[in-house]
Amino acid sequence: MLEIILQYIVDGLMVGTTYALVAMGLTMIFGMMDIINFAHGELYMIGAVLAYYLTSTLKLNFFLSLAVVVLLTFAFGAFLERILMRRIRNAPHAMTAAVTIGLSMFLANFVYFVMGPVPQSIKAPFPLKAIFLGPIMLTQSRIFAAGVTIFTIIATNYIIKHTKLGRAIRATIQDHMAASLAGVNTHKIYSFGFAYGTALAALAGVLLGAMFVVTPFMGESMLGKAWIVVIVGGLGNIPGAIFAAVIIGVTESLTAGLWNSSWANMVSFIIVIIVLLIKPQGLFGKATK
Amino acid sequence: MLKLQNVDVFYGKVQALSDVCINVEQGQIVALVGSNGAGKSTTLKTISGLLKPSRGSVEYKGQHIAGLAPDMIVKLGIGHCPEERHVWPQMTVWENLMMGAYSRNDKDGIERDLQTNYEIFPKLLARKTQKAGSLSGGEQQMLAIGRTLMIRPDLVMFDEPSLGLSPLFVEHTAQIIRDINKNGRTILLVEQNAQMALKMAHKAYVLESGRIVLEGTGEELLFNPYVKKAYLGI
Amino acid sequence: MNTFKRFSPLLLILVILLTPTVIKDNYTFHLLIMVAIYVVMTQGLNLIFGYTGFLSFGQQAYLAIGAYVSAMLALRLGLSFWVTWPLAILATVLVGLFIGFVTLRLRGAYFVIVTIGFAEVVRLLPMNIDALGGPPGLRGLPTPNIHIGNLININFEGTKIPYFYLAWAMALFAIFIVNRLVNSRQGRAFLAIRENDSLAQAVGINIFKYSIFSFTVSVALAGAAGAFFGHYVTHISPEISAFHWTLSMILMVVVGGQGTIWGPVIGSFIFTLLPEWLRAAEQLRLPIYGVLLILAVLFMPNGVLPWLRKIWHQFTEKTRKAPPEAGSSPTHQASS
Repeated sequence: MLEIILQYIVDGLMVGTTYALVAMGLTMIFGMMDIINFAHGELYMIGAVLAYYLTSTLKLNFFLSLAVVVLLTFAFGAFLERILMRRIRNAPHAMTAAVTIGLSMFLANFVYFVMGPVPQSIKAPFPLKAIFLGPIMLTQSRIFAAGVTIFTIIATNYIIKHTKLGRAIRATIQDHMAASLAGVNTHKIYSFGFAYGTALAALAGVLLGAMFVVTPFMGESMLGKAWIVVIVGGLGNIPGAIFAAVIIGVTESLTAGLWNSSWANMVSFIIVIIVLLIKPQGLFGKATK
Repeated sequence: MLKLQNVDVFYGKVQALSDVCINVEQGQIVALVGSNGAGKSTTLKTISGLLKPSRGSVEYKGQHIAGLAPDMIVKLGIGHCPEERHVWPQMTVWENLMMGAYSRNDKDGIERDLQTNYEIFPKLLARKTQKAGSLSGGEQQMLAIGRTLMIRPDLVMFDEPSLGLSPLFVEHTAQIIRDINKNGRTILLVEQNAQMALKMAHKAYVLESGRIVLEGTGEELLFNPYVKKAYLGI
Repeated sequence: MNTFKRFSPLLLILVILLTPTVIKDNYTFHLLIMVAIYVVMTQGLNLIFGYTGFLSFGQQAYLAIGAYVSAMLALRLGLSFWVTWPLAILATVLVGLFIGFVTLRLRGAYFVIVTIGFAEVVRLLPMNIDALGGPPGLRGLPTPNIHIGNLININFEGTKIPYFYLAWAMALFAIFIVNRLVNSRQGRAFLAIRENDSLAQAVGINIFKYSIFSFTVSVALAGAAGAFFGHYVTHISPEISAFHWTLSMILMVVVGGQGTIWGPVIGSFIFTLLPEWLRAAEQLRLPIYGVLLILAVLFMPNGVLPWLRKIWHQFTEKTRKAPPEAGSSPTHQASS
């Protein structure tokens, strides 16, 4: 029994880290632009779909595809910011919600129109044979996903904490007028933030798409999870999002494994509601703004 | 050095500045005095590019800068130390100062200016790893000034540097502004504390509901009966 | 204009009463009934969101509670719709009071997410509880037939017209209630909370009390619509607790014109009929829908209603100016 529980915890940890990728982008976009991005799940979906086409139609190597997807979605994010997000930055939440919902509808249904209803899978060069670590079973695709994710999280954290660009991002989040007066081109920072968040979500899409299946509507459930993570971690709080993602991943995995997978979502939502009742700023949020 | 001609600025439909003309000569301290809502901050925001004039021109070192983005104007050498300090509360003192040097690439120069700042404001050195949000009001004002100096500006604009400070700190701040001027920087100072501003100003303007109503040397205005009555409370 | 305003409700009732003389096909009736159901729901959402400033993203939960409570009472206890309907609304109100009590202390994005979270919990209940029908849902809900002796005998089976009248009676009632509320002392309190809650508190408005009041009325309307919907289609499934219901409501309110009485009504028409018109575009219907939504919000941020009003005013101004009346409105020019 203990081994099974341990197995679920490890599975949860691995999936949870990929949630962190999606949630980090979401929380960053919210923190910077005050946009509740309902299309973030579709950005994740687009990563998976692009990887599917690159590996199957263009027969590109999986690892190369991964890099291409990250670059393409970064550019796509910058483009979206330029034509859309810039217009709704700091607008009332209802307006940002309506616009991003429209974007989400457009992206999901357009991909559905192109790709059709059949779930697809990304051809990854990982053998299906499991690796055993004591009693715990791991697959290579999961180890790879967890490795890439952890690397990305550490790199992102480094960029934000220790580089000039990171300082400019934090300065823009905390006080954008002061950032402008210090010579920061805040438009560029917003563009970068949105593009980076898009690329993070797309990367998660490729990694999870290689483990499970790719569908045009895979973004919807991911958005729900990402929001849970962001709320539990505290809005706009990146380290909080990472911790929360791992907690939610493990909880889900345990609930699904020991009880019933359809209750897994519900348990996470109940966690959110309890967290908000006790500590409305999120588990890792600061009491003051 | 800086010349505003017939500048009109609107917030939506409300006119905040009308027909403002200001001239700042190299090396001077120029003061803008007036009551709350007279348009002093609006004037500075227009110069630094946060607001765009609907009419008129802003000329800096012979170049038209009205309508340029704020980050471009910073690169031209105009530093704007905003009202209410606006330091980044979650960033350390050192990070705040380094952000001031954001558009510079001269590593040695930045390091030198950082040291100079620490000499002028020893408190900042002692607290360089603390979050700016944990500093006192006066210390935050020092940090805001230090950050603006890190831009290495030729023209420094201060918006209400004495606001909310104790009388001792007000005198200290005034001394610092004089020192900055002595080091060859031109200063445009906005103050509600007219006494302090006019005493140090070479030239001053009085703003009332978005219009310049008086101008003269600091001394002239200090002894002007209208200014005395309306702004100095004598 | 004033006489027009005074008589417009009567005119509206007349139009509704006469509709069956013009429209004959069942499908159009079905759409018009759906519009009425959406009017009820959007009036509710508009009250808590447009007038009080809380963007409730979980309205589908109350729709589902209303529908399921009414369906269970009717199917298990054999009660008539006319008994289960008020009971279902009552149940929704009780749940709404409880949820309002725990969530209305939160604001902004937090409130949004918690309402989504609660709705998600509600969505998963009927899916996983067999007594509630599980994923296939509940079938055979009784129609709201009325038999009083031999005098009155209204049969809802086989025809849409009684449903049409009942739906629009409910819609007009919702419009009437919300209109009365927002034009009362409470309504001014709601607006004060929306505009500036700390200021509202400072002038002695009990924000929490008024927010709960607004929220409760809002969910009661959702519950009423949900119960009605169940007995109209006579079959409900967990689909009724899906997010797209609230999505549609938000779009109707935002695009129609939030914080106005008639904006959500216009929105309900647009977003019930538009997908039908776009049916010609087949599979590209939903992507087009998405783009239209973005464009509508970006270019008409206050919704269609203020935009229509502006056009109407320009039109009436023009027609008024058309005869050469020299100096008819000199005051307009003097103040610039």
